[in-house]
Amino acid sequence: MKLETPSFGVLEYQEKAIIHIKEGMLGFAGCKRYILIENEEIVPFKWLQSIDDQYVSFPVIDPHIVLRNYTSAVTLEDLHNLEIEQEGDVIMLVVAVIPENPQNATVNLRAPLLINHRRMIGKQVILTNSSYHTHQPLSGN
Amino acid sequence: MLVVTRKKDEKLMIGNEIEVQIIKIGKDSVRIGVKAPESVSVHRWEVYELIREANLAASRSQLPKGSLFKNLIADSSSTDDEAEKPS
Repeated sequence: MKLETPSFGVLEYQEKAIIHIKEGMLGFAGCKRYILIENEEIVPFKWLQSIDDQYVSFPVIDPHIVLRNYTSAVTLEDLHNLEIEQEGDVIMLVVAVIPENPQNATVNLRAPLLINHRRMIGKQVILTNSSYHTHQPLSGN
Repeated sequence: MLVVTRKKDEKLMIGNEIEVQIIKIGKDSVRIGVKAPESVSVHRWEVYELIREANLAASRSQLPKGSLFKNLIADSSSTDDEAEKPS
């Protein structure tokens, strides 16, 4: 299947690569199907690209790069509805804001994207633990 | 928007499983209780707004060029030698 994207040109992908986010990302309720683009130019980021709207995409990153023990922030309640059968089913990504000056990049630790990669379903979850920031700077000061 | 008037202790049903109750009525604020299934999240509106705004800002991100980011992460506050990678 093919998708024309503003950032990566024409992408070819397989149906089994589609991640279904039932309720969409907050603020983008109409976009429920995404593919995760991995490209060495953007490492360590990946790009969550909407299939429903080619102009909707988000840089995402493994939160453990920013905060080693981030996993402990996610509760069982947060994992509900993702049909998790075992620990290895879940991958966590956080949405990043990359402005013109990448030194000012931030990540949203408050609402990670949890993906059951066995079932290819995902959900943006607002953590019950509210001590995390929506705009956590990437680079230490 | 559906607007309903309730007195203290009275309730509203949203769908078949969400129950909203007026717990206490104060001078400037109202204490509200919500009973909902685990699959339904309940948060203050401001929190949703914050997340929406963060997603919107993220969707406008600049595509990073070159190895800028590898350096950025190397300088970051994380003290990891190896970060856990999703499989």
